[in-house]
Amino acid sequence: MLKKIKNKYILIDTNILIYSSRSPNEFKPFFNKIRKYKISPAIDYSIKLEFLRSSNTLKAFNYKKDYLDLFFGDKKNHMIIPTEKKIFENAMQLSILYNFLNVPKRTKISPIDCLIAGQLMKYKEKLALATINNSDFPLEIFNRLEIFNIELSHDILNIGIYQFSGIKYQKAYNKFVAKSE
Amino acid sequence: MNGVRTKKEQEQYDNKLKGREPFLIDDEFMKIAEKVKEALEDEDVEEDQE
Repeated sequence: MLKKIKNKYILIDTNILIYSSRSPNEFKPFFNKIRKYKISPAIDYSIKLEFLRSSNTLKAFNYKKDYLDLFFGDKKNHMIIPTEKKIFENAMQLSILYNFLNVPKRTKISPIDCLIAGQLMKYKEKLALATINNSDFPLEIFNRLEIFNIELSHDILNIGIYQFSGIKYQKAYNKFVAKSE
Repeated sequence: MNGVRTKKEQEQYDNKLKGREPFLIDDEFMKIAEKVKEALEDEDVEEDQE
């Protein structure tokens, strides 16, 4: 199903950046598959903030910046998506809809995940997301294109690839409006 | 490399990145991944980030 986003973009969630730094070899098959379909990596400023903000020394901060450079490669090959006003508006709408969907875990969605969902909503035709945080991208709104399993020595990671579905969103939104009347 | 570069080192580094493909796991990547791994071990990374 990755074919669906061939030659398009994939937003790399913070958790993928963290886990792939811990176990780069284990992530190779996953990254190779993305490369096979010529899918370009994308990042947005909220993910960048989340990845860099816990640095407690300048050295650690610079190592992480270098890591992003190497991860995303030549600047021509990746996209930094601005977190503009529209993204905040989308994030707000989606967070209300998440609450309406009423699954306990989803009420704990972080503001950064709301912004990521907002990006996916805006760029629904050409942007997907790779994340381990599968519960924050509900199938009532998103299509799950594929799941990759990555075996670590003490864990198995399930990486979900998600794309915003305008049809699903509209259905969920209509239900929300009907219930609110 | 101690995480901070001189101007000349930065230029060399930028040149090295030119034409680099994304998602490429090579020796350079492995080295910096190790440094990031160590840095993350010292940090209080929130559960939600993971």
